[in-house]
Amino acid sequence: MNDPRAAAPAHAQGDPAQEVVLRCEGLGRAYEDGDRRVRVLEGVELALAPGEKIAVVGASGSGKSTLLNLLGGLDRPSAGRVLLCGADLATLPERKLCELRNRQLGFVYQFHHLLPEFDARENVAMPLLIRGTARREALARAAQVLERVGLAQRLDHRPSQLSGGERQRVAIARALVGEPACVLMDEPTGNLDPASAAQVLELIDELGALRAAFVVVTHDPAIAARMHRTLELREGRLEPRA
Amino acid sequence: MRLPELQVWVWAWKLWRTRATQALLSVLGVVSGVGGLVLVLAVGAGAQQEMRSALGALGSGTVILQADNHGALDAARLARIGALLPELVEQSTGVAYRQAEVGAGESHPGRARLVGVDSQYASMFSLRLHSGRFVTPYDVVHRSPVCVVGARLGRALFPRRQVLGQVVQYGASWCRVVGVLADNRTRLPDLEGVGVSASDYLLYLPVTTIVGSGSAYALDEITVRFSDEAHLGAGLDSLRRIVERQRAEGEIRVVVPVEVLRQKHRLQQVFQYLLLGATFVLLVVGGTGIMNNMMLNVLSRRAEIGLRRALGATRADIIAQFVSEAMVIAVAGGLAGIILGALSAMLLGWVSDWQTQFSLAAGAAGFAVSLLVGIVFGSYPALQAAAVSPVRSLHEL
Ligand SMILES: Nc1ncnc2c1ncn2[C@@H]1O[C@H](COP(=O)(O)OP(=O)(O)OP(=O)(O)O)[C@@H](O)[C@H]1O
Ligand SMILES: [Mg+2]
Repeated sequence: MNDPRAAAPAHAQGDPAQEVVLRCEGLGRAYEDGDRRVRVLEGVELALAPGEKIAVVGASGSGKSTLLNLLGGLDRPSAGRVLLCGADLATLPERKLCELRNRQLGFVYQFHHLLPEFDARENVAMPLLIRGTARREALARAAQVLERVGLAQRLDHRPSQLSGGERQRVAIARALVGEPACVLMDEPTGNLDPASAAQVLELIDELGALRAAFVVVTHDPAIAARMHRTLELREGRLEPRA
Repeated sequence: MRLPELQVWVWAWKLWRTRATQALLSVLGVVSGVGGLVLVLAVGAGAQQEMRSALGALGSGTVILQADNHGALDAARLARIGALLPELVEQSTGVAYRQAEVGAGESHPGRARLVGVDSQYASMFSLRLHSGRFVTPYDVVHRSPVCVVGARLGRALFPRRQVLGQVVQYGASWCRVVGVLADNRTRLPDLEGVGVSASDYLLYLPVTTIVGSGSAYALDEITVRFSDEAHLGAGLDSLRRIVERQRAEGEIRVVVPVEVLRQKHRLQQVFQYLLLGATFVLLVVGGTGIMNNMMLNVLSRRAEIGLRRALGATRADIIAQFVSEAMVIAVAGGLAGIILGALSAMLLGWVSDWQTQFSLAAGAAGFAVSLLVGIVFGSYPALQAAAVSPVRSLHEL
């Protein structure tokens, strides 16, 4: 296993626009609370190169989840803009935005959000099925990815028949199956016991070789240490951490 | 919609499989509603069929005179009717009925109805022969000891032998079988006393053979066919006058089979409208049941909706998914309802004198209605589902 820090892409900084997977410019998000305006994010700048893996840390309530939602186009910013693969999320029509999200993004949440009615394979195949891939092919590719995350023996298991760590690995497989340009993770180990967390951690390590860029929100220093760089959200701004 | 059609149905099916009880409860209304609809259509189709076969067998201009007591009708009057209305009457025939024990050799099937007929009878009632011939004018004049048997009676009398040419005993007399009727598949209306309904189990003999000789033998029924329905009105008036004039001799009833059927069908129509109303209510209740279930579904699956949106599902995809879930359950209920409707139509036709007929068209209508219920009552919950905010729903857990 190579050290991901050593494999940091050479073009990580100051590269031309087309080499940036995800960029935000002057990104701000404020919530109206009665007549009070709570600014959660203010002037967030970020540029992510292909294959670059960053950790985002910050105190609880600092706006980490809010940032991920904006990056994924699930929420609309009150200022600034997000560019995913060169496309401004705010100006895309809904259909295009959904398609972009489906093809270029993977999500992993603190809770696995697997659908209880379906087995692991069908859960993983979900993004492909939503995309319109033929069922047979989607299930075959899901099986491949599940194999890669070490769950070849669990294809037909329902979420209720899997351990916490296994569920989270299925969720990661689901985020990767569509070969997205960028994977957004929100505390992927936050809900796991130490042993399961270690499994997931190992998996994230193994995925270091992937072309996909990663934004991992985490409280876990062990995960942060495995990323190319760590940024901290403080008072609405994203700053490099010493 | 980018979702391939099939995929949506797979998801919908899996969903309901895991919630079978819930599905069953919410779909009962649709089952009974569609069942009622199919039953209404089967009753309507049966009435039409009944009318068609009655018209086919009797024609629309047929009137039957029935003697309420012995001697009210006789052969002389039959001749007079023909003579009085030559331009209106196309055909007429007189019938006498008797009951007798019938038997042949070893087999004694029991009592059967004897029908004394003339040579006109077979063509007036559209009887079809399987083999042999029908009663001829010669038979009537000479009181020949011959008979024609209904298909079922023939089989009862001679289970393993050819029927034609055999000798049948009725009461204390004998006759030779000269004709066998074909199986009577079309069920004719049961009009009291009109001997067309159960031709399968009748024994036809020359009328003179069973009632005795002379020119004025008593008849139980005279059937008159006017040349067409347009003449029916005028013909009926004349007939009634003739009947009135001879009232002293006994009561005579005038039956117009088509009218009797229309009367019966008018009654059925009232039933149909009532049932249709109930069906409508049941469908609305059923649809509301599905809608209620779907609303609960939307509430309890907010996280799933958010997740699907995060994975790239559009609002239209979410709508398609929830509408198809409602459609799957509505159609499943509809199919059960079609079966229920067909069975109850069969049962109704069995226990009553109503003719019912389940047709593919009724099934298709039931299917279409259940589909419509699914779409109509699934739309609102589906719109609610599409309006779920992915950000909030994902972080609600
Ligand atoms: N829909 C909303 N309406 C109003 N305020 C909100 C809303 N969503 C989030 N907030 C506020 O924005 C701030 C940032 O929330 P966010 O969930 O992004 O924090 P976080 O960094 O992810 O915290 P944690 O580490 O606990 O998950 C919080 O103060 C929260 O109260
Ligand atoms: Mg958070």
